[in-house]
Amino acid sequence: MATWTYLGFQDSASPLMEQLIFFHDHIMVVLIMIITFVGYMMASILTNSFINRYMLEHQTIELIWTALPAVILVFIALPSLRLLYLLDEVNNPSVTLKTVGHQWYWSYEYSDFLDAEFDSYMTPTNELESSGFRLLDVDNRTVLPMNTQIRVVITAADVIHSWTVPALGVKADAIPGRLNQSSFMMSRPGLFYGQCSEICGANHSFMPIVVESVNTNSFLNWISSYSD
Amino acid sequence: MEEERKEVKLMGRNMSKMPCFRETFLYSVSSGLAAGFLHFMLTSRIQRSANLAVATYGCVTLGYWFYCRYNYSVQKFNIGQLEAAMQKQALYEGTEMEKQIKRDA
Repeated sequence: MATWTYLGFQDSASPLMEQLIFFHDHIMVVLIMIITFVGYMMASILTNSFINRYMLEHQTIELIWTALPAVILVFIALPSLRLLYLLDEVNNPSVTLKTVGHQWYWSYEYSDFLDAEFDSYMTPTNELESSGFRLLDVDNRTVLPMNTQIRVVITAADVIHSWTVPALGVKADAIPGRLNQSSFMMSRPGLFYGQCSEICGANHSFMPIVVESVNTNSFLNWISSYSD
Repeated sequence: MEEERKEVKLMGRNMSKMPCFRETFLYSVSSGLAAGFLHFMLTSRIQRSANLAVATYGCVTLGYWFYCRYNYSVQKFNIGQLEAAMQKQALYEGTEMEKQIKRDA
């Protein structure tokens, strides 16, 4: 989860987020190279006192600084497109989770399993345990099995919200009258936090999401006890 | 005991944790410095040596980065396949499926 002044990505908990981070690293190196090169050229020009009186229509340099950015863009575009199509790949989810955004809480439905459903409200700060996370903990966590493809169907009941879990690389708008589908797989157990990402009223900042990743047996025990 | 790498952060991202980053910039900075220094020792031309140093740095960075990341992704893929195979082996051990797989192999 993110603490204050946290700028970077959270540690990935799904293969897709891992690929997103790798792509970010790749772009970062290309950008460092470009900035280094441009900075060096600027320093070189500033310290140069010579003047070329005959510099007119130098075709070679024009060709170079037209073709080189195109080549750089190709090296950025190919991994980008690969990742774009990877994110949209069709797989066979084993579990479907329905998420409905309300003002100002999330409700979840597990229709695969005996119609388990519950609401998830933020734990108020005055009721928080000393080990709890302020503005992030909820009363009922969304428990899901790890190493399993999960389909999440997202919608809203009133205004537009957005269901986000940065560690899983999932963000999808919850729009009234529309079902948005996203798919992910959690590769490790743990708690993954997110917050509503579309302005939805006074308590927009106070409707967090907590996904609890557990092994399959624990998930089955939980869902059967919940259904009871 | 593993020695802890010092954290190097850029825009919130811990660079020391990025695969291939440390090796890439170690090799590129050192080869750039070496190329520039060697050229200067041979020719005594300052600006050209500096240009060569920066060009070598750029080429080695990009070249080693693509090479290292490609190998990393191939290794990762192979490890993933190995893990899946080990899981399947544990699942099918002692069953007819295992015998069939061995026959097909």
